[in-house]
Amino acid sequence: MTTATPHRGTATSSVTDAYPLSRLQAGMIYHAELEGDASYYHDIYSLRVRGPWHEESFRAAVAGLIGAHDVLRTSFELAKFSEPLQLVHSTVDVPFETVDLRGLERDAAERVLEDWRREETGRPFDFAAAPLFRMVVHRLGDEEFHFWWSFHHAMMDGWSLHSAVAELFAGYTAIRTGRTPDFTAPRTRYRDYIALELDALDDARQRDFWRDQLAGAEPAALPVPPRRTSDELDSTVEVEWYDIPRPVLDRLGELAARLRVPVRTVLLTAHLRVVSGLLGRSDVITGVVGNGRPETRDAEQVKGLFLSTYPLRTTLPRASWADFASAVFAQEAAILPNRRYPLAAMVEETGWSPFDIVFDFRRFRSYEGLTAQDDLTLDIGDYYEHTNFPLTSGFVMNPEGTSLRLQLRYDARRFDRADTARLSRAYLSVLERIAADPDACVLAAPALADEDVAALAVHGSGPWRDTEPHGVYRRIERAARPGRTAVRAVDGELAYDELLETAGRIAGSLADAGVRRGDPVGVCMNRGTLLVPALLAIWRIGANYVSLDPDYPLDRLRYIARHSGADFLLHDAASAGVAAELAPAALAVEKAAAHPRSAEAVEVSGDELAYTIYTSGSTGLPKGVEVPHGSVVNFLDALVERLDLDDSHPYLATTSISFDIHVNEMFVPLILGGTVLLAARSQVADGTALRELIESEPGLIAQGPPAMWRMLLDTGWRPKDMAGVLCGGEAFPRDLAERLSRDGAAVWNMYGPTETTVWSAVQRVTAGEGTVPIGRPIRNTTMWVLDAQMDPVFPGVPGELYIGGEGVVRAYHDRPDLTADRFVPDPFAGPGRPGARLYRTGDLVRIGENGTFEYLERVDLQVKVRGYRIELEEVEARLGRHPEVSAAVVAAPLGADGERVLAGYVVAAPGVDGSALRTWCAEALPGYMVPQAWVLLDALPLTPNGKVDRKALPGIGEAMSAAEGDAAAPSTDTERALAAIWSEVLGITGIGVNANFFDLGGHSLRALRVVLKVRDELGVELPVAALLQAATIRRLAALIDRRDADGTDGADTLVVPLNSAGSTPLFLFPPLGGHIFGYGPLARLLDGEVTVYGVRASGMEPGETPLDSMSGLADHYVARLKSVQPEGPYHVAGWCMGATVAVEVARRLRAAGDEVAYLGLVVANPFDPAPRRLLEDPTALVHHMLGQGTDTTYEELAAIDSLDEKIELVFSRGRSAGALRDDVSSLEDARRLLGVYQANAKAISSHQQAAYDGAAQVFILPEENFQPADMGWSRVITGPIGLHALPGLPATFLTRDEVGRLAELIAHELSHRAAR
Amino acid sequence: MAVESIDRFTVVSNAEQQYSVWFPGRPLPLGWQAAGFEGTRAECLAHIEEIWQDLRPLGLRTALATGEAA
Repeated sequence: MTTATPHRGTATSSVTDAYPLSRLQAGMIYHAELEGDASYYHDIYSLRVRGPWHEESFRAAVAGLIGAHDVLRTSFELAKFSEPLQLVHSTVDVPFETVDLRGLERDAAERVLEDWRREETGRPFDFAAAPLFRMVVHRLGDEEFHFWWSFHHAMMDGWSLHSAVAELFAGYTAIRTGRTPDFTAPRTRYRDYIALELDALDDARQRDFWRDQLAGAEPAALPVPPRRTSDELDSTVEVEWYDIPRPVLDRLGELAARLRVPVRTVLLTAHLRVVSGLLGRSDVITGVVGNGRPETRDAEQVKGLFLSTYPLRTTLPRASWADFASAVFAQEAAILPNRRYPLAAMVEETGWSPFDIVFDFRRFRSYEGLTAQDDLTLDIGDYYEHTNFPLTSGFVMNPEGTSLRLQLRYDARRFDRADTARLSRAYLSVLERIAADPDACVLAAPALADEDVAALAVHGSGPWRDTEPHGVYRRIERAARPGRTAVRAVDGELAYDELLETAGRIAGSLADAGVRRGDPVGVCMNRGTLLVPALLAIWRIGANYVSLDPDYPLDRLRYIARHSGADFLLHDAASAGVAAELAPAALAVEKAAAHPRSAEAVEVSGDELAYTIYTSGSTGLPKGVEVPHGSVVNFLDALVERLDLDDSHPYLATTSISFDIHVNEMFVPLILGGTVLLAARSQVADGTALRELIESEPGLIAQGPPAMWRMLLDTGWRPKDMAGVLCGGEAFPRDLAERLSRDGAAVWNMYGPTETTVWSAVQRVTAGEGTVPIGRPIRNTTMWVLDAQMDPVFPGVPGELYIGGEGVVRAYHDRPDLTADRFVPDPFAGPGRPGARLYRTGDLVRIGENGTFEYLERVDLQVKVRGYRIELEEVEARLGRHPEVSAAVVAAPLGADGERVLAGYVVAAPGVDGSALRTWCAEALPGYMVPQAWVLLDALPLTPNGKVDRKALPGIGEAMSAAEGDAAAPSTDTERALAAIWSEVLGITGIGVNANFFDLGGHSLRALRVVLKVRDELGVELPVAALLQAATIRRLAALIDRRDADGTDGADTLVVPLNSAGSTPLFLFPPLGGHIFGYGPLARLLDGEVTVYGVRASGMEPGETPLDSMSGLADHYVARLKSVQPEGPYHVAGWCMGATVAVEVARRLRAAGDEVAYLGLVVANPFDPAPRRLLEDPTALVHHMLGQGTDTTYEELAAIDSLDEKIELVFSRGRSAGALRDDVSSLEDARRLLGVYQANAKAISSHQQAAYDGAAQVFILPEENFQPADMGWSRVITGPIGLHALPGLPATFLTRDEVGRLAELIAHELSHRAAR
Repeated sequence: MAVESIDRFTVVSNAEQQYSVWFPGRPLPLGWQAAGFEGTRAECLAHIEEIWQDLRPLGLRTALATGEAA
C-alpha cells in the first residue's frame, strides 16, 4: 500500500551562500539541544485537501518552491566556523513521500495519520543537513489527501509557512492543469534580514534605546506558578478562541479613526490594562509580536523566520483611554526604528527576560489565496507555533476588518480553562468599556469583569450574622455559672462567682480612685489568678486596658504608659517596683481585690474600647492598636461558631496580654462558662513543663505559634487527647501541620493582624501541599486581594490582602495619619455598610487553586519571629542610636531549624561586639525584638542606586566566607583544552579553572558551542546541561575525564549520590549489613542543601570481595571518597558500624593532611557495635538476616551443620513464602549478603577504638535510655562533642516520619562549618 | 496625553468623621465624601493629622456627650 521514495538521497550540492544565524534561530536551536527533545520547536502543519491528486505535479511544485526560497535549502553549521553559520545549498533532495491509504476504512486511515503525526513529532532533524523539513502526503481516497509539512521552527515562521503553502498549492494546480507555475525567487533574501539584525546589534543608538526603555524595570514575569506538570497534560500548549462582538469592534474602529491610530493600537491599549491585572501592578511590560521583514518591495514573499517580539513598557496612567491609546501609539512609533534589535540581546544585557505575556495582532492576507484553488478544497488543520511564552493574546482580524477574534494561546501548566475564560471576560469587559466611553479613566475600573469581581466578593466573605450589642463583660456575666471553675492558675483557682465578685471589688477600687468610662488603665501583672478579674474589672466600669508587661524594659513601658494616657494602673506585688515608675496612680491588685465596695457594671456600646495593644512600629516607636468591644464580641462569637465550641473543653492561655491573641485564650471559654487554664510564663518557655500542663487536662484547646508546637513535639509529645490545636502568628509549615494532625487532633490555622481583631480567618487544616493556606474569613469579615490601585487582581496573582468587616478596629492611638494610611475606604462594601473601611495588611497573598488564600510574604519590613510581630525598622532605629554604630540593618533569615532568626547586621567602631549590641537593644526593646545573631560588617551591601540591598545580606552562617581561588590556572590536559575552548567561545583569555562560565559572559548559545567543540576536539559527547551543572573548567574537566576513563558517565557504584546536588557533600558509611538504603529518607530531606553520598560495602555486588579488617575498609573507603571529592574539607558520618568507619576514615584523611570539617556519629555504640550473638553465632546471623517471615526457627537452623545448607533452607523457605528481602533474589545474593555481614562483623569486632581528637556530633535516642547517654563516645572522641537527641527507636529513627530532626541538625551544623 | 500623577490622592471622610485617602477621578466608595484636600499621599496624611482631632467615631462621641449630659 506504500509507494515510498527514498527519504534523503546523496545529491551533490554546493553551498551558494553562508551567513550567521539570527539570534532567534540560535536560541531555538540551543533550546532544542538543551532539552534534548526532538519535538522542541518541531512544528507540523496539517492540511486536508479534497480534489484530484497527481504525484508528479506535486513533486514538481515542491521542487519549484524549494528552488525559489533559500531557507528551504538551508542547513546550520554550528561549530566548524568562528561563529555559527547557516549554509544555503544550491540543491537539496526533496524529502517527500506519499503513503497510499485508499484501501483502508476511514477510521483506520485516521489512526494511521495520528500515529504518523505522533512519531514524526519525536523524529529529530539534523541541523547540519539541509533541508530542515519533510513533507508527506497520505492519500485517503481518489479525491482526497492529507498534506503534512514537518519542519524546524528555526527555518520559518507562521506567516512564511502559510504563504509557502499557498504558493505550493497554486503551483500544483498550475502544473496539473498545464499552466506555468509562478515560482520566482524574490529579490529580497533571508540574508538581507540577517544583515539588518547585525546592523541593529552594532547600532549603539538602538542598544541605548532599549537600555532606556528597560531601565529600572522589574521583569514582568507572570506571577502565577506552574500548577501542573507536563506529564499530567496531553499538551502543554492550548489554544482557545473567543469572538469579539461586532458592535464593540465597530466602536473600537471608530475610536481608532478618531485618534488616527490603527485598531491594533486600541487593542494593545486594552491588552495593557488586562496585563496589569495579571501582573498585579501598573508598571507593565508586554511582549509585542512585530514584523522584522525588510521593507523592500517583494519582502512579503520571502520565507524565513522573521518573528520578532519586542518589549513594550508603560505605566497605566491616570488618563482617559483615548489619551492612553494615543500615547501607546506614540511609543510604538518610537520603537519602530529600533524594532530589529533582538530580544535575545536585551536579555543578555539585563540578565533577565522582560516579559511572559505577548500581544499579537494578525490580519492574514496569505490565507486568501489558499481558500479557493480551482478544484481543490482546503481544510486547514491545527497549527501552533511553538513559543516559549506562557501566554500569547492574539487578536485575529479578517482582511475586511469586519470580524475580530481573540486567540488565547497558553501554557496549560500555568492556566486552566477557568483562568482563560476569566481572562477572556476581562478582555471583553475592558474592550466594551473602551468602546462605551473612551474618555473614561483607564484606572476607573479593574481589569477583571464585573461578574468575576462579584465572585471574589462571595468567596472572600465570611457568613453574615447579626452582632451582639453588648460589651464583653456582659457576655461573661451572662454565661457565668456559680461554683464552676472559671480560672485555674499556678497560684490557685477562681470559680465564676468568685471571679465576678473579685472583679467587682477591683472595679470598685478603680472607680473610687477616679477611673472613668473610656479611660485607659495599665495592667502590670504576672500570670496569676488575679489577672483575669483585673481585666474584667476594667471592662466592668467601661474602661479599657493597656498591657504594661513587667518584663519589658522600663523605657518602653514608660513610653507606652505615657503615650496611651494611662494615668492609672493595676499591678501585683511582684511588679510593684516597676509600677511605681510608670504611673502616678498605681493600685495594688491584691489590695483592690479586697476593696470594701463593688462597682456596678456599665452598659457599653460596641464602639467603646476594650483594649489597646502596642505593636512594633516601623517609625521606631510602638503603636497602639485600639480595639472596640464590638470587634471583640464579633470575634469571640465567630470563633465559637467556626470551632463549634461549648463549655466542655478547658482552654489553655499561654500568651501575654501584650499580644491580642490572649483575647481568644481567656475570653472564649469565659463567654461559654468554661474554664481558662492560665499558664505561667515559666511553663510556656519550657517544653517539658508545657507538655505536662497540656497532658494534665484531656480535651484541652490550646493556641500557639509554630515554634511552640515544634517545641512540644520535640519533647516527644503528641496531641492525642487535645480537642483543638490552634496554630497562628506566622505561616504554618506543612510538615508541622502534618505532624500535629497525625493523631487525629483537630488542627486549625489562624490568621489575622491585631488591627482586625485577633484572627480574621480560621480554617481546619486538611491534607495538602505547601504552606498551609490562610483559610476563609470568619463571620462578618471580608478579604480582598488588591493591587496598588486597590483593584482586585486575578485569582492566582499575588496582591496585598485587605480585610474589612466587624473586626476592623478603631484606630492607632493618637496617630490619625497612620490610621488614615492603613484604614482606607472600602469600595466593595454595599449599601448596607456605607462608609466602611478596609485594613491594608501589608501581607502579600494570592488566591490558590481551590479558592484559599495563600500567604506569600510581606510587602514591607515587618517580620514574624517565633510568632512575634516585629517591624525591622524599629530594631534598626534602636541600633542607629548607638553612638558607635554607623549603620545597621536587621533581617530575619530562616535558620536551619525552619524557624526565622532575628539577625543584626552592623557597621560599628572597633571593639563593639555582639554582646554590647545585645545589651543596648535589650535596654529599650522587649526580648523578642533583640536580635539573636550578630554580623559585623565593614559596610552594608548597597544596590546600584545606593540603598541598602537587603537581599545581598550574607546568611548568618556564610557571613565570613569569601570567594577565592578563581584565578587558579589549568593543570591537566583536559583543563587546558577546555580553557582554550572557553577562551575562544567567550573571547577572553586567562580564565581561571574555578571561574563560573555564566559569570564570564557565557550564555546559552555559548554553552552550546562549548559542548559542540568538546565533541569535535575531545571526542566526548556531553549534554548541553552538563555546562549548567559543571560550570567551571575544573568541574567540567573532571566530568569529561570520568567519562573518558570508563566510557560511562563516571558512575561509581560504590559511592552513590543519594540525592541531587547540594552545596556541601556528605559521605555516609554503611551499617553492619553493608547497605545504604537506610539513608534514603535522610538524603531526600537534605536534597538541594547537602549532596549525600552513600558509600556501600565492598562485596555487595558479584565479583567484589568483602573486606574484613577495619584498616582495609577504611583505606578502601578513603580511596573511593577521594575519587569523588579530591580534597577536603570532608564531611563524614555513619550509623551503627558506619560511625566507627567514619571515625577511621576521618583519622586517615586528617593524617593525609586533609581537613575533616564534620564527623557525625549516628545512634552507634562504639564498644558494642552489634549484638554479640550475631557476631559469634552464624546460625543466629542467618536467622536474623534471612529468617524473617519464613517460619524458620532458630533451633531448626542450629540442627544443620553446614552454613551453606542453613542459608539454602531459609532461602528456599523465604522464596516459597514470598518473604525474601528486596535485595536478595538468588541464593548467590543471600550468600554474598551474609559474607559482607560476616566480614564487617569481623572487622568491627577485632577493631580497637583509639582516641580521635577532632570534633564530632553524636546523635542518640533518648527513648532507648542508654547509659551513659553518649553511648561511650566521649571515651573515643577527645575533641568537642555536640550531643543531640533524636526522636524514635532504632528500627524507626531513620524513617521518613522521624528522620526530620536528624536532617535539620546535620544541615544546621554543615552550614555553620561551611561558614568557618 | 493628559495624565495625572499616580501619586495624587484626595482626602475623604465618612459619616463617623473618620478620614482616609482615595484616588482622584475614581468613584468615591459608598458613604465617603471628598474633604476638600488633594496632594501626594504624604501631604494628604499630614493634612489629616492636622484636622482629625478625635479618633473616636462621631456616633460614639455624640452618644457619650448626650449620656453625660443626661
